[in-house]
Amino acid sequence: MKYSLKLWGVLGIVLTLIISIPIISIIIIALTPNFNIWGHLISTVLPVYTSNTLLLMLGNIICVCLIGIPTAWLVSCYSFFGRNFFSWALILPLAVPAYIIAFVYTDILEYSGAFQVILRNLFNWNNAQDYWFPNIRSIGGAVFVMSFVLYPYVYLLCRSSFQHNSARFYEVSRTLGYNLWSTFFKLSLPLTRPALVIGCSLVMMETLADFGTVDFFSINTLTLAIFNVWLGMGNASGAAQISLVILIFVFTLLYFEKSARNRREYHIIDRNNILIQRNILKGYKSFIAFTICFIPLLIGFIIPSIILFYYSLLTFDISFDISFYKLIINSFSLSLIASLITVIAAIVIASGQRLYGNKFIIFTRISLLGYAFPGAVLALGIIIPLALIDNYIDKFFISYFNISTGLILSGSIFALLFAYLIRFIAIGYGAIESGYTSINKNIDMASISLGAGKIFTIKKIHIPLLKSSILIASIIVFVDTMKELPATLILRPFNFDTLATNVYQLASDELLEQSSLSALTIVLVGIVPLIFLTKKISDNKYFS
Amino acid sequence: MSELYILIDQLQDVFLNQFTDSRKRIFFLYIFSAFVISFIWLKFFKSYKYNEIVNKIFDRKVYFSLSAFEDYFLAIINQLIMVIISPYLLTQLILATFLFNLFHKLSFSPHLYSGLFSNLTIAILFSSIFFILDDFARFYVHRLLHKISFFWVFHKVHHSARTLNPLTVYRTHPVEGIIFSIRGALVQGLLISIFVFLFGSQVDLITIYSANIFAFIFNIAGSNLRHTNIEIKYYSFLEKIFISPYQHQIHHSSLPEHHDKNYGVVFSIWDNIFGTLILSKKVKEVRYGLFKDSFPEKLSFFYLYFYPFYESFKIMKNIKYKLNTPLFKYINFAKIIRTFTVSFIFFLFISPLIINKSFSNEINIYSHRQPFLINPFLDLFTKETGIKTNIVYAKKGLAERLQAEGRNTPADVILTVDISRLHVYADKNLLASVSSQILTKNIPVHLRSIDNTWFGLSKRNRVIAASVDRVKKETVKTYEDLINSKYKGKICSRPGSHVYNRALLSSIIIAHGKEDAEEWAKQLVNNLARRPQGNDRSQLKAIYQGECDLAIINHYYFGKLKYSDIEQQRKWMESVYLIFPNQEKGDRGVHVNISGGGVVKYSKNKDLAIKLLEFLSERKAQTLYSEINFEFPVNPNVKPGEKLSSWKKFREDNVNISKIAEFSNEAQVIIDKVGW
Repeated sequence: MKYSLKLWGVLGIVLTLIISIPIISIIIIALTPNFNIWGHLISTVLPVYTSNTLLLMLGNIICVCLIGIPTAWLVSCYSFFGRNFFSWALILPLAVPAYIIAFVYTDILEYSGAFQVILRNLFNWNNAQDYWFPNIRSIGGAVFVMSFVLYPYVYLLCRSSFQHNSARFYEVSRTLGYNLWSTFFKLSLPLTRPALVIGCSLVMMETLADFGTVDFFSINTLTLAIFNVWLGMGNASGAAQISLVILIFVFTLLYFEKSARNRREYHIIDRNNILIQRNILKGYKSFIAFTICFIPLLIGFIIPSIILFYYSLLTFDISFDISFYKLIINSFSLSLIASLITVIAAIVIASGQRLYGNKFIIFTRISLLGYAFPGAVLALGIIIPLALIDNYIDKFFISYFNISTGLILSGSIFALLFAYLIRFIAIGYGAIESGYTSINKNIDMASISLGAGKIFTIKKIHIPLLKSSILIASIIVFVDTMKELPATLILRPFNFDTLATNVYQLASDELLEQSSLSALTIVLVGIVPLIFLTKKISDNKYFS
Repeated sequence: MSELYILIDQLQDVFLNQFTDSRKRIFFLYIFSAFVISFIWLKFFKSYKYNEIVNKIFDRKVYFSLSAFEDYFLAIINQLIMVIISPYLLTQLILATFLFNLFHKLSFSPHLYSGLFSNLTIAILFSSIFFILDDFARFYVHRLLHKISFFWVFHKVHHSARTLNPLTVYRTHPVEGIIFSIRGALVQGLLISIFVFLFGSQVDLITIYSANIFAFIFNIAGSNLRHTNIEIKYYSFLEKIFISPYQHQIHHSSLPEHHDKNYGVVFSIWDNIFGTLILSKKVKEVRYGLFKDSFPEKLSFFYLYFYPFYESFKIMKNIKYKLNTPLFKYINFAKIIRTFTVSFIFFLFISPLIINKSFSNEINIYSHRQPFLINPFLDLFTKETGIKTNIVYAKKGLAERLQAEGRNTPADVILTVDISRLHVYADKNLLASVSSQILTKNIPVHLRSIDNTWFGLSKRNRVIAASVDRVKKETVKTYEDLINSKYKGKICSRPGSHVYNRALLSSIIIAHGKEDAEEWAKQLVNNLARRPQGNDRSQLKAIYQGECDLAIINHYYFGKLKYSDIEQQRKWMESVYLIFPNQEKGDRGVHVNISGGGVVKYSKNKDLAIKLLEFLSERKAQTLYSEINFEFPVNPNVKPGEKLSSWKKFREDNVNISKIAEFSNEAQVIIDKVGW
């Protein structure tokens, strides 16, 4: 093997190392506490907080699977009224940030919200004691709002997996006398496992990192504990410790899952591009399928959009001016660059991993952890090493050239982009790796034995085969960057606002109406790439 | 850096303005309406499928072609040129004034018809005459551009487009731009002067601006479609009145038989009269561009801008020789155009993200307070001193950022909304000790730190809100009354770990000691009506709604709602009254928290930073605090604004505010213990 060919693998490793820096720096922060918090925490809030967190996580995963898998299955294997529409529209809730949907549903469903007011008027109830209504600001409420915007992760990955699994499987299964239902449980679901696990772990990490919703609902989760320790007790290292403990927990969980399916590999044996013959549903069955697909869309997208639209009409004259365009431009270009960087990094890492083996798997794993940290803690892990490097460069230049360079990296857009890379590399990598699992390794061998170099193999064979995975990865990263809040708030330069920070500023003062134009725009701008995705999907014969 | 940033910012405005100004052709609504119309056309008249529609509208061959990049390139360059030369161009106002004076000199009697018609009639008259005259002028000038060979060489640039997109409208030679701007000034100037002369003061700016209504209708009806690949045709009778998009596309055809036809912009009547009209049904297919050989094949910046001059020169001199440009043979102009266009767009929209917007002669603020709440203060400060301010706002993490940045930090001032965060900065040794007579004079000793590192700027009282109907006056008088078991299930509060509640608990620890404070918190949690949630505003709402009878809030939330612009919120507050607790003789008074600020230790603009803090402690800003945000001024010489001073007088807990921060940790421990 020529030396230059190794470059790619080395590049991947260097990238993972760079991405690991903030996480390692969080570990270092955690190891240097000013005082021990655990005695106090364990004796007081920890049990409650932990059980709340677990409940929230479990609830989210169950709900997300209950919504994501059936819709993906229906859309892949059946033909019914509205199928073509749902096959792309079901992704749309991804564009709605969890904190925004939380604001919106609280506004409708709380005691003073429109819904309960209507109920009270309808049944002549006078006050809260007259009837029972579930409190939206509760764990159940949080599961409700979060799962309806997080399910697209599972939906997307499962659908792609259902459709990529060769139609031969289904045919064989059907000739052996299984109907579609038993094919689903016996064949498709197990085959979907890698994709499902990635989807669920994304949801899990998103849940753990979420601050906006739990803060708004005042649910005492570990994420809140992190901030209470940090801000209330001035103990940042305690906060880092808690987030690490959470991480180790998630890490172990994923590790067990991985080792449970360690010996099984899920490759597709032939790619003869046979399309699944979709069963046509008629009558009430079609109606049921329609309803199952419509409800998530209604709750996760349509209702919030309508309400935001209504509010933004009310406040349009206040919120709409030239500075608003700049918010859009800032958000849009930031997200675009972030998704570009992240996806390229993900391809480099994933393909390096594929072709050069698992020697540095531990760093890859570490580099993927950024997603599970609350954004604010991650921001801590970024600002400290970056400022350190900056100050070092500054010192160097002062001593040799007598020029002060000031802060180059931190306090500029670079810090933000770095934060997004670290936070969302897991998404990019997850999507691309799951794409890789469905490319047979024999292809690599065939290509290499035919004399093609590894880089050539990546460029000419992997990337075209991974096209849809790459697209999905970049779009999810784009939309997620658009929604990202805590790290953006802390790391941004002066006078720099994005749509998300604008929403937060106003909504954190409970001015939902004023913030709704920005919120709606986040959703709309997020839809643009999603529509682009649909166009691509309709061009692609593996999908549709 | 500062100048560069301002330049980019202004450039950005120039280009953004194209999309945000309803008088521009590519105003975002017009583009949007063009989408809608082409969608309807393709879907319902041409029965395309959805993905075909998307492919047709967003055709890569159209929007990424070299011709399109030339368009973008020229659009950019022309904007820049226009920015430079527009001050020197003839404007309609100068012309109108000139003509108006001319009419006077010719001794017509002015204002002949003043008062004869209603304002509305005049507005309609003006708009319609203007629209028709303007359209005719456009038609005629356009015709001249084609007919007179001297002009044609410039107008050729526009016709050299091989694909059409909405920005092709800006693919013109600057000379043509000047011709058109003079034409606009002539028509407007003429008409305005005539109307003012005839109708006097009845013609105002509104009349003149209302003339745009027709242009707006024309644009919203899909004016952008004429420069696209969407071939929309009208019925023939309609095409004899209005130019259809396809008719204009025929105008762009490269075939000789289509040359010099369909000049019109809105109306095709002029073409009909001058015999230059072609109807859509007569043309099967159109290829855009110039007839072979009439323009160099290889278009370049050089050719597009300078070849017309060369050609016009040739025409004037009537000489014929070949332009020999060996130098340009080897340069790939296509590549240059593409690269320039992409990099300019990148420069315009990405570079503002990269440039660090912290300037040496300005004050950089790290703020824990929402910008829209402090902007009135900062604007006033900038107005009075001419010093600009920049801001980063976040609720958490700024102290760590400041610490990490160390000596090189750009920040000058810290602003927070409570004492404990100020204390964090002081604890980490991030604040400078300030010696300012103004600050020490304006701010009482117990509201600033001993070493003068931080200063309170406004006072916020933690008070008890009570329901008018359900809580009798004078029954709850102290914080301690809240733990009375008769209020079980009646009290609302935000989570205990919020800074405001934590500070309150600290004050109780100071007053009663740790054990009693813990007991108090425990009983309070027992009395809560619901799990602690929301902010103080939603506690007030809960009282109105009957979820609870009493709530612990910061006083200004009550003020904000009571004097809100929204009627509904004012109504909520009719059912709530405020209790300033612990007012009995000898008692400690209501708990006070502060919003405050400090100067960053490594600030490079300490003088300016101190100036800002001083400004905030002076009368004007202090009054503003009470007027905008209903906070009490810290400056004892400043009376709160009108609304606040009508509130009942009360006594404050005068414990040194930094002591509150010192007990913050212990308060958090208790809060965790009792689960507030």
